Amino acid sequence: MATRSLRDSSTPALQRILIPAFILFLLFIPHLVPNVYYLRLIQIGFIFAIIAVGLDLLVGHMGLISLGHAGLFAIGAYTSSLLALKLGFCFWLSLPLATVASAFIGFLLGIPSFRLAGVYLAMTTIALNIIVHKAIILMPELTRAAEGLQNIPMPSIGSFSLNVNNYYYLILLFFLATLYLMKNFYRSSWGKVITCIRESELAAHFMGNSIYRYKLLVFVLSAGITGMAGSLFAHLMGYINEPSFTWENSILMLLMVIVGGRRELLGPVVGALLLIWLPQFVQRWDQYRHVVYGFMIIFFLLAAPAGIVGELHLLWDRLGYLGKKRAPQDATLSEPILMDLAASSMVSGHGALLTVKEISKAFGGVSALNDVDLSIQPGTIHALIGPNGSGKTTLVNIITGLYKPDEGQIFFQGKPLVGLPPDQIARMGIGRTFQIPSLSASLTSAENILVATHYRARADLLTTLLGFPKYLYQRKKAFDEIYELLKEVGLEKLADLNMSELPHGYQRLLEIARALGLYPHLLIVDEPAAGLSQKEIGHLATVLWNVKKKGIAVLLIEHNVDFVMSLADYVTVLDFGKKIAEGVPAEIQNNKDVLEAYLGRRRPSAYA
Amino acid sequence: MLEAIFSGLVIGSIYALVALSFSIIFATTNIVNFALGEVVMVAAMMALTTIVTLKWPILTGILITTLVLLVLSYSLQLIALKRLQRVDANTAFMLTLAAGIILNNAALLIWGDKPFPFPNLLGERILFHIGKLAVNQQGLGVILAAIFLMALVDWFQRKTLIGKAMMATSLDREAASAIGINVKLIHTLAFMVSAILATAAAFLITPFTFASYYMGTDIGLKGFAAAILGSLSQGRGAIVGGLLFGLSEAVLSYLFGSNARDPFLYLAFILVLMFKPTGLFGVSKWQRVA
Repeated sequence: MATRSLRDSSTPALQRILIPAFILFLLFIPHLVPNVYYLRLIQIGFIFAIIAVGLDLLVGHMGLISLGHAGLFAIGAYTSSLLALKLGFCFWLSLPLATVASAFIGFLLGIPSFRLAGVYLAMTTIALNIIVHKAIILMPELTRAAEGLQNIPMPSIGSFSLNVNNYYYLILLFFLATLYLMKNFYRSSWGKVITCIRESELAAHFMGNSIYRYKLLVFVLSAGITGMAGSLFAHLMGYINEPSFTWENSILMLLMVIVGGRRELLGPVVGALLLIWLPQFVQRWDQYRHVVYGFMIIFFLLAAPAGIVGELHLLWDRLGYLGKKRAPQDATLSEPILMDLAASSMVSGHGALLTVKEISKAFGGVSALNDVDLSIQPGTIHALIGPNGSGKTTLVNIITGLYKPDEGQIFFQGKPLVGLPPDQIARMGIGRTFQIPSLSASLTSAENILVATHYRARADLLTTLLGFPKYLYQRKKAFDEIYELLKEVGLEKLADLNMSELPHGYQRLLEIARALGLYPHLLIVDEPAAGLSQKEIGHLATVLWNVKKKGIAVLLIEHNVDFVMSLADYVTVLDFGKKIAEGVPAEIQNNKDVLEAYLGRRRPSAYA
Repeated sequence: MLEAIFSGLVIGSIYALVALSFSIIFATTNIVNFALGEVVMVAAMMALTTIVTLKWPILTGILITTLVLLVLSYSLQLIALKRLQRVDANTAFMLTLAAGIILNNAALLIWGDKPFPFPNLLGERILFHIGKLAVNQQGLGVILAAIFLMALVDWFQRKTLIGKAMMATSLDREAASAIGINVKLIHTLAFMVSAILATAAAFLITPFTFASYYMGTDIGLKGFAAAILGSLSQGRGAIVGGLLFGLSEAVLSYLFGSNARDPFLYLAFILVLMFKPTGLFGVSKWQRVA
């Protein structure tokens, strides 16, 4: 896959020529089309393209299935029409209100839905669609049910009223604007966070991002876009009735995204245009249409999961590789550099940075931690060691908010942590890495770190969507920071390499850089040396040493005893969920209990 | 009102069968077989063809229908699960959704769009009265048949070795595989049990709803919603969810009329989830972080 530098926000030369040329072509279309019927058909195609782009945000980028977008479409269409017909609102007022109405319903539905597991959303959205569709039928005095709402006015500008011919330009404007907004969104740190949530939800959560909020945000955006399309549709047709809004039509919208290609900006567009236009030319076969749709879903999911545009994209990349050999990537680590970052200066105040008090945790009756105390001083490296299954990772998961302890308290800089969600704990200044590196495979090294810096170094949503200069400035600033972080772990030469191409040891370093992106006061590293070569371990030691010099405390969980003893200021030893020893490395190395726990000589019967 | 409650229990026990069907597959394979409603429809159509149209003996009809359903269910499993190692739950969901669309429209092409009456195999005789409510053979029969089947499945899962292997697989697939459980076989078994439950649901519901190509969509959606309402990962929760769903449906129908029933039913469904996101009887699984 071709990767582009995060620093580079310019458009490639080919695109710079092709895009204006294509837009020019689109502007000429009304002159090329023989009659109004086809011009209207083209406009319907573009409206569904807008919906499909909005649905791809949810289905492709967030990985959540909605089967209720026809219901949101209906809310937009009916809100706009009824405002125009009953209250005489002009189009320029009813369109934004229709957008807001759909977004709001999306918000209400999202509240219960995103506390559920993924596939459940499909059912709640179907439920919404059925409610909306039946409501249209059950309120004929308002919606005229089957006969439909008629004479929905075309918008007018001043005294000039649009007709089907020039309404085309309005739809084109909305269509291009939607693409522009989404393109900005996907390229921003917002888009990268969404990708990380899809691929590695827990990692995104531990890097300070509230999963629930982002899922809700994406659903609301998607619903708003669909509602807007509903309004455009109603005023184009001048007539709407209930069969356009059944949940079977939601399946058609989903099919557009799958056929065209998920996570490609133009994928859903191609899918929508194909599925709106093609059936018009094969009307003789209409009775087989749905069977064909079914087979299309199966074909694309199994044989061409990237969709038409996605598969073409892959083919293009492959041809590109054939044509020119890629420049060999310089994959050597640079010497880690101690950076002086203002935000991570020494923690003020005295006493412990983190205090763990009498923590106990049991899983289904099996005690994992029993009355554990731990106290980490600022600016120290504190090692937590113990045999497999002694509760080290469980303790980390309790500190970082994944599990609630059964008993006990945790204080970080004097503030209680128990009960807070992982993202909030991360933002308070606790960064962590994972035993099995948990990074986003489709993001570059730099973009993976962007997920952690997002919470404090982001342009606000509106600025991002509109692509204002401030957004570009923020983007550059964020990248400069990330480059510094990569230098700290020696990975800066690999900033733009896809994470999946990084060797295992480098992934561990990247995880450390990502956690440092939170500007933490405490860095928790879970078995960072596992699977590393001797040379890489030396490199890692320097990195951790530098982290400590910056004034960041480190909680180091590790099996490699030499590594621990050479680095740690204090060592705590766990065995069977209990703390059995604590002290400076020299004391621990001669402690009888520790030796027994590790070498298995005469295990105390109480633990058996 | 009393009659509404009774008919709610009757329809609810059928939803419970379908909900249990969803939950058995979800618990063992972690996917939702969204074609299940259409599978019920195919069973109804097969029963109609064999017993009503061809006038074969009832037992032969039941046997052949069950066989067809087992084959159909196995094909669905192949489509949805063959590449499960590489395919995520979303893809499997969409694949079964597509299979459902194909079944639905194939049935339309084969059997046409008219609903066909289906004989009541349980009898119409009124057995006894509770107040004004007349309890007939059919109503009571449906409830008892459903309870019998669900109790059988529950017993099978909790007491037999194979059933325990299924439970173990649903708790932790890797661990089950590590201790020598043939996970693939367990998946097939789950699809088979769900096919048998779907067949039973078809025979029990068609006398009320008639057999038609569109009957499956509604049953499937309500069974799925009921399973979520109870608990998709626990059979007993799904059963209670099904009963509650049927009861609410009948009561809402009594209060607002049969036209307005469904929107209120789904609204209630969404509202309940707002307060109990894991379903009424669900427990969230422990998350494991490496």
